[in-house]
Amino acid sequence: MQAVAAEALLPAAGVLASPAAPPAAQAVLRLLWDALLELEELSPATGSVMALLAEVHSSPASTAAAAGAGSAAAAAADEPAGAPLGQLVPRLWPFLRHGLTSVRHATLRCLSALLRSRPVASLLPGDELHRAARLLFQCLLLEKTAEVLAACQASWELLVQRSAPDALAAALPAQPALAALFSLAATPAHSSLDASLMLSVPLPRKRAGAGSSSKAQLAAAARAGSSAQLAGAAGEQQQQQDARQRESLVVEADGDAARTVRMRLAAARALGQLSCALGASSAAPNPAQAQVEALLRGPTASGRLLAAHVVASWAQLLAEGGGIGGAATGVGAAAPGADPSLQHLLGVLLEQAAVPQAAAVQAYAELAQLYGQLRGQASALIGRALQAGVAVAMPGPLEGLGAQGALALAMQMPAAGGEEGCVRVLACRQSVEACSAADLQASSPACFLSVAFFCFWWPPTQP
Amino acid sequence: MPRPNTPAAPAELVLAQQALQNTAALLQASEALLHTSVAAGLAAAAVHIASLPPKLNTIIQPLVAAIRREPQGALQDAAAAALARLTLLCADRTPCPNDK
Repeated sequence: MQAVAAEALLPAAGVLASPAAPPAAQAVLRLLWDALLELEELSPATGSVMALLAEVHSSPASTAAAAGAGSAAAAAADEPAGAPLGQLVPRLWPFLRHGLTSVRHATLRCLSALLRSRPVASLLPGDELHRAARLLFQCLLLEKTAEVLAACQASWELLVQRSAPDALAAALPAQPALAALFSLAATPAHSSLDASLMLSVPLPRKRAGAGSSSKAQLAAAARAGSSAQLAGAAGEQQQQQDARQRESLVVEADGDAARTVRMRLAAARALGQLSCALGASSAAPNPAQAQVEALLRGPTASGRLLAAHVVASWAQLLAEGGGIGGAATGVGAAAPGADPSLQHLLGVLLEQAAVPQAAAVQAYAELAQLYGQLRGQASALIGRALQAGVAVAMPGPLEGLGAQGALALAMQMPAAGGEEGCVRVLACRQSVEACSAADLQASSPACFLSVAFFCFWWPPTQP
Repeated sequence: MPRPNTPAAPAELVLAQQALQNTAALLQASEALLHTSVAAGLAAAAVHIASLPPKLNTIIQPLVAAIRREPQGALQDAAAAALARLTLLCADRTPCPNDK
């Protein structure tokens, strides 16, 4: 019923928002906002209510009423349900991570419409700016539907653009809020987002009479009269819920690397916009600078990739004249290189770019498990070789063994003998000049013997 | 295939050797993949700050490598955009590396 009623009113959204609307319009708006306090039995109904709210608040009449500051129409527009919008907007938070795509999309459209038409200070008073920023950022990380992700990016952009830089800096202090955003966005693939860094807003209670299978299970257990059974059913429910929660927090759990890259770039752009806006605050140095530098020097490739793209977005926004935050933050068009934070970060970028690949990749935490496996297998191979009486020359200490050293080690085994194997060993080593190209092409037995001798004689070096 | 004049290795040794070779190959591929993305990201960021160092090798090479080998389209696009920006920045440079 609620869904049908809300959908029927969609064409009249403009009228509902108009200052000249009949008094009943206020009652309808109050009903809509109050509907968000309880969940309908059928989830799509929430989507219809949210869609109508989004339409009402994005209609030109609502925007015009809100713009007429001080007038009676503006007062009515800011208190659509008899309460200030600042008190109503937090009712949207639980629906940002609703299970239905349509509900999440409508919620973001509603939030964007509100952010576009009203000052952030009145819309998100007190701690709500902090919550809005963190919850929206979490949406960017978790959202899998491209359309909803774009809506989320639009909301974030509006939030950063229309907030006062000092209010943003106060709402997102370097520790723990800003650090949490950077840390979550840098989570490597196949790892779980750190739940302790995330804000969670539970969905409202279900409306009385709205049954569910889980409730039916609990009721059946209660009828059976066994408290143990009741506790078991409740525990099982909790476990299932926890398992679902854990599963949804793992980055790239579905193996879709392209989606992870899309998430990473969306997060980097969002953090670039935030860093650019924070640059206009009175906080000096820019609190984002330390976070970016820590990631650039950090142990994960994901973190370095994220930080690099944050800097790129930040610099692009400055070059475009403050980009999204130009008007609100007072940032004018400027050479990005003139910004002291970016100047400092450029030094770090060039320093990191100059590190040779062999040294850089050994530091990537994402590969630590693979390195462990490689060294374990190398150790096992040496053990087998000794058992079989095969002499092995270790190409450097086992703790520093890399892929090339491991290949050189494997090639020393008799089963890998033959000219081809020897050529591959030589290709791995810098001393390949020792054997002339003509000898290799000839593939003569003399070449094989000389190369085999070289393999065993070759002194251990770092891989 | 073992050579006729080489004593055949026990089966366990062959298996251990193959396992090590497979892991080494996987590690090499993973290293190259991660390094291509990260190095191109660092270079792109430096380009967008638009304050270039005298020597551009550490910036140009990762961008070209990403355009050639990056499997993720979005990252490849970012590298291409950065290389285009770099070309514009270098237009007034003497000697100009754009012809290369």
